Amino acid sequence: MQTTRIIDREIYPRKAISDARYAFRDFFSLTVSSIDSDQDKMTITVKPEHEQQGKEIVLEFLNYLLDRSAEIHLEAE
Amino acid sequence: MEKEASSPEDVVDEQAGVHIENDLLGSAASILVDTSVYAETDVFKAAYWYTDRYYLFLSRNLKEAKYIRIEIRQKKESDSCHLDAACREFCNALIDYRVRRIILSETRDIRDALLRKAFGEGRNHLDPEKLGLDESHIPDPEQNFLEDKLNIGHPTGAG
Repeated sequence: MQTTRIIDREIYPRKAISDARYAFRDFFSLTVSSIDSDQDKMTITVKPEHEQQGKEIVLEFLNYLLDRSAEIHLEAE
Repeated sequence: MEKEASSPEDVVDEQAGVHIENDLLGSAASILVDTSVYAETDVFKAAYWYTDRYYLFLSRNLKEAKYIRIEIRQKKESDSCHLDAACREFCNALIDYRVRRIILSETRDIRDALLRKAFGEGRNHLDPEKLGLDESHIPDPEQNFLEDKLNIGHPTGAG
């Protein structure tokens, strides 16, 4: 299963993506490419052995990413 | 936010600002939040609270950057009514966090004064010369409460 998201770098800092990617490294591969100065394109490819739970894995990852991003933003406040 | 194979047929419902649609990851409801009304920190605080019960994804509205799009999904698949309610609950949470921020801002001076007073009194006891120690009333192991050297048992006042 593969899914793509366009993410705003102000909302999801690169540090949050890095942390979340590391936390979920056993479940999928993640590629991030820059679109412009504000946005990245993030492609999640779930590993075959986790294909059945792919949807849940992606959604849990996005929640983890959001939580980590919120922590970074709120710490900076 | 870019979604796979998004088309008008994927839009399930749209009512009063709540946009519901289906995509590869299932059903999702989304709302646009105006960041000139709700600070981004309000959005993050509400979102952080909501990830416990829902799946969320935030994206910037491409047409107007001041809007953040909040995409909400149930953790258990459900109908669009529940998703609609989830979005409206989120809007209530935004109001809560905005009000809290306003109150924190308005009461900042009072809180700072209280904290200064509370911790300021502690500084008086940092000087060893000012620390007093009276161990005369510490009971001996052989003592019992009947001896009552401090006369604590003597009734006073009312009664």
